[in-house]
Amino acid sequence: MLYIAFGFLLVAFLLFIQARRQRHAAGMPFGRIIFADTRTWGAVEQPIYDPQLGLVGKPDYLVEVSGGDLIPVEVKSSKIGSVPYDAHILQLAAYCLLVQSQFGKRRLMGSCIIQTIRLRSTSPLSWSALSKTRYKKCTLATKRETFLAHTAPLPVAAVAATGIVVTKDFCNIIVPVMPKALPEKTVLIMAHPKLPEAVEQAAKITDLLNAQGIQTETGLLYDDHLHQLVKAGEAKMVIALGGDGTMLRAGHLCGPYEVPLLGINLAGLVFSPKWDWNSGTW
Amino acid sequence: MRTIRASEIGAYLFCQRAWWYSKSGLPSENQAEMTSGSELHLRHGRAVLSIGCLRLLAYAMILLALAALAVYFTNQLL
Repeated sequence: MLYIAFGFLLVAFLLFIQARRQRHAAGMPFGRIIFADTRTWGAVEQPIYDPQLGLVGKPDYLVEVSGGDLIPVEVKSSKIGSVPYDAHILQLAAYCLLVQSQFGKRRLMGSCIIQTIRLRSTSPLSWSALSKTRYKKCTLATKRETFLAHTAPLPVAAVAATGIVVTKDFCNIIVPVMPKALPEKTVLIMAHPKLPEAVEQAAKITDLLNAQGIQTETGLLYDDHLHQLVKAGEAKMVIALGGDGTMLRAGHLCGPYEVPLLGINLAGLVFSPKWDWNSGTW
Repeated sequence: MRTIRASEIGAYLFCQRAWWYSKSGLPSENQAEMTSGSELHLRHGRAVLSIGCLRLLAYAMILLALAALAVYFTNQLL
């Protein structure tokens, strides 16, 4: 009987170790889960609402750790680098605000679990699969410089965009005003930097389009901000001026985002037809 | 003042245009990614549940061990 008792204790010990490993792999803080929004069983968790802030939300988990601190945990499926986006941090900040208003003054902590290795959706989750899955955990304590106002302000652009006003204690969230319509997308004009004619003609096209009331953004082929506009879906179309290489580069840029491309070939020796500005023909 | 959701803040910061489309009632074209994200949340939820089950099982084992020890020492005393 004594051996059986020790056997049970050994199994219990191994189970605790396994649970600890699994929790570490899942990126969860150690503590008691008092709120879980990811479950499909039981009653649906009620969102936390603060009428004064006009804010409502449900974190994926709310974990009570030793010392009574409550940590809202948010799981993100996007694949990103070693740090979460500002969008993730500020969403978590909003949850911290809600937790603070609902449960009283507590230390402001949050945890963002970001999936770095995507599980195959077709494969069932097994112990071995779970243990192989790694979640990147980033606590807000490590992001104090962008999170807590009294150490450093939030990025100005982020504050302006969301209407999140940073105060000494924390931040107040003001409702972003929904515009009736977004501004018209921009026509991007890209010129090859080593072709003076391309730069000159790009300026002419810009003037022409602006005179028609069309919003344009003009720059050189390698300008990063033009590339960012294409990637952000803000480009209505791209007009590229240069040689064959310019066309290919612009095509590689526009293709994945399905942005229409108008190529105007100006180089001396080209495979594609050259545009003659004087005669207005190819 | 309109009540906003915390997730809305994240969506707004991530892509204002996508947020605006969503608020305008336009369905997202990234349905596959959204489904995949929901599945990930469910899988994570199941994983967290299984952690709780493991711990519960471990406590049950400790109780059984205590019961077995109680039986052993009772037999020894009798």
